[in-house]
Order: sequence, then C-alpha cells, then structure tokens
Amino acid sequence: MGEAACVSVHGANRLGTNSLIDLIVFGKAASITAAKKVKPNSAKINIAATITEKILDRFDSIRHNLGEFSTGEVRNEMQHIMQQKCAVFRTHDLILQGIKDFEQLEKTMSSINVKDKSLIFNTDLAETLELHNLMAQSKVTLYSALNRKETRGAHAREDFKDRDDVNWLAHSLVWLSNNSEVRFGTRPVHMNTLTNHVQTIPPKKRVY
Amino acid sequence: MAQFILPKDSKVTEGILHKSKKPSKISKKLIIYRWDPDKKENPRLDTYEIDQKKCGPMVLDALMKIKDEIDSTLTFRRSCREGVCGSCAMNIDGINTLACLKPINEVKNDIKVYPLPHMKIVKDLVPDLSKAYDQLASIKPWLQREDQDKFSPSDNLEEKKQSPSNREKLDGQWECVLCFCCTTSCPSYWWNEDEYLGPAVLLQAARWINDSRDTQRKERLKYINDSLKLYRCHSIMNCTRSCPKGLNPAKEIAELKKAIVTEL
Repeated sequence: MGEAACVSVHGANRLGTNSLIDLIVFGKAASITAAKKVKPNSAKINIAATITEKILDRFDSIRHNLGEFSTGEVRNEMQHIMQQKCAVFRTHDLILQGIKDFEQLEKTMSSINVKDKSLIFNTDLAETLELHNLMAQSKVTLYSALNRKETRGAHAREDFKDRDDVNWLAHSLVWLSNNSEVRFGTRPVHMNTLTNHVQTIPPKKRVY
Repeated sequence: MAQFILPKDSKVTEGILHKSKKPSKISKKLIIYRWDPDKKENPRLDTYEIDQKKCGPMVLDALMKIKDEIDSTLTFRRSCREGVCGSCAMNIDGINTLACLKPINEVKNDIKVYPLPHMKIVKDLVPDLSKAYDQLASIKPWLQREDQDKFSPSDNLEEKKQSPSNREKLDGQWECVLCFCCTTSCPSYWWNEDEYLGPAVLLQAARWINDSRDTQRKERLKYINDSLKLYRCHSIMNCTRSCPKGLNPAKEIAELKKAIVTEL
C-alpha cells in the first residue's frame, strides 16, 4: 500500500523519504518492462464488469454517503490517536488504549458526509478516499505494534526494551479482511547479499 | 472588434460569509475566490472568519483549517507544506506566492486569496497549468548526451560526474520548484502565453544549458533563440519580485540572452 510498502531495498526501514530509491530503481525497471510488453495502439484488455462494478460501487457509496462527520474531523482524530497512543515509544497498555479509541472512531467512517459532489477536481472526495486508506493503514500499524514484542529501530517498546533476534528477526505481514479483521504472518529476512561486491554483515547489537 | 469590458460571467460577485461559531481571541478574515465549474454561476468571494489562536502560522494552515472545519468544498492544491513541492501557488494579498511560505501575520488586513492570475481556472484556487507544462516539456528538461543513443538501458553506464565548481554554476536555478508564481505574474506572459515561454520555463532552460554534464548546450540555446520564445522578456522583473524561493529568473534570462550573443 503506497508509502507503507516495503520491498527491502532499505532493509526493513522506510523512515523519512528514502522511498526515492524505490521510485528511481523500480520506476525505471517498470518502464522498461512496460515498453516491452505493451504494444502501441493495441486493443484494451476487457476487464470483467463484476470487478469494475465493485470499484464503482465503493466510489459511489463514499461519494454519496450522508452523515454528520467531515473527513477533516475524523482524520484529525485519527492523527491524534496515532500520535498519542502509537508513537515511537510505546507500551502494550498504551497501544491497547489506542486500539480501543481507534475502534470507536472507525464507526464514524460510515457517517462521513462528502459535501462536494462534483467530478471535477474534487479534493473533498479524494481526501475521503485517502482517509479510508489511512484508516486501514493505522489499524494494521496499531495491531502490528501490539503484536511485535521487542524493540527494533523506530518501534521502541518500553515493556520489551531489547531487540529479540531469536523470535522477531522477520518482516511482519498483516492482512486486513473486508470485515476489518486483522491476521498476522511473518516473512524471513534475506540475510545474504545477492552478489559478492559487498560481504554479508551478520546482525549485531546496536550500541552507541 | 476587440472587447474592452469583462464578459458578464467573469464578474466576481460577493459570496457567502462564514462567521466564526465561537468567539475568538484573534480573529482573522480570509476572502477567497470561489468558482464551481459545475454551476453556471459567476465567480464569488467567500469570507471565512478563523481563530488565529487555533491555527498554524501560514496562510496554507488557515486554508486547511477552513477546509477541515468550516467548508470542505474549498478546493486548492497542496502537498508538502514546506515550500519544496510548489503546489500551493496562489495570489495572496496581491502577490503570487506559495501559501505554505506566506505568514498570516505578514498581511495586515483581511487576507485576499485568488488563484494565479491570467490562467484558466479548473475550480476555486486551482489553475489549469497544462499549457505551462507543455512549454516546460518543449525545452527538454532532462540530461541529454550526444552518446546516449549508443547504449541500451541494460548497459552498465558509469555515473556522470561533476566538479564542485561546475555544480555551483547551477545555483540559483536548480532550486526552482516550478510553482509558476513568476510566469503568471509576468505581463508579457499574460499577453503572449501561446508563444512566450515565460520566466519559469526559461529558468529551467538555463538550468540545463548551464549543466556541465549536458552536451546539447548549443542546440538548447538555438531552440530558445526566438523573438517570441525568449525575447518577449522585457525585464519587467515581476518574476524576481514574486519568486517565493528568492530566485532571480530575470537575471538568468539576461544571462541566456548574453550567451546567445557570444556563443551562437
């Protein structure tokens, strides 16, 4: 999911704006492949109506939704929860409180009123669509923060102060189902470089 | 025959007053240009009252506060909120600038906010910049090398190095964020927007012309050496006055004219 994607160009870290390398490296690779695969003036691929209808239904339901809340209000509240309850330094109890608050807020999503109904440069609608993504992202962030019982990088669990390479040397994978349930998994970390240009450096304790 | 009065549908009318709901300690009024392409109505000026105590310091903070809390239909471009993306260019208090770099307190009276002047409007504060972008593309704003066609993308190409002193030659040019505040403040561009490239695009042209790694300096100079593309600049200097990044496009344009005289 966009900014939250991690394909390990930077290891497990994507703080700040080092997604630039993703753009440059994968952008170029994607353009070369696209130029090879797509023939100019070729016919469009037919996409099944069942797929497009699902997308348009979602779009229309968000656009014509009625309710008492505005996107700005809900987004501010979400930002507040994430900043207060799921910041870099976090504990089990704090994150749990965050999840509670978040699940209250989640209910308001069905009562967001998009006032601007236009189809021309509708930033009200665009921000609401973005908010739906942000809410999904916040939810998996809260749950994975609760799930990972160690401290690693910018995930500083004050109730588990040390890095735990025995149990947690792994990428967190999270699935969010349509009914908003969270499921976890892990993927092993590539510990070796792909070429001999740089020798593999085994992980060690970070000390200052 | 030439038409010297504004057409009826472009007269700006008085709009809606959005009064502050709670009494505020430091109240500030923003008077904002609104135009909805879906309605067949004239543009109008809406007034919004905000509590400055509960708002960030910049005009963009005020616009976002209005959008979040008062009127979510207010439409404007914004992204980085720190002057590096160039999205929130608009006319504030009579001068083109970036809303994110303009402190609210710099404006003594009510803050008047209009879109960039003399551009086709898409909606509210959003101008249509497609023509300006086409002009930018016309100067080929990317590194060109005579040898580049000999290589396929999969070749292992070496990086193109540049000495610190050659790099310095791009100072005052690379910092441009392409907000088009300068171009849309230029009377010459207002009159000849179809042909004159305008200060922003000419500044970009200079940025590539002065790049030591680029081999097409002569061709680039030849391309802009045109009575309309370049010489519609009459050193009015509005560009330099309005640039929110403190750059001097007028000076760079003068340097381009000099290079054409001495090198072509």
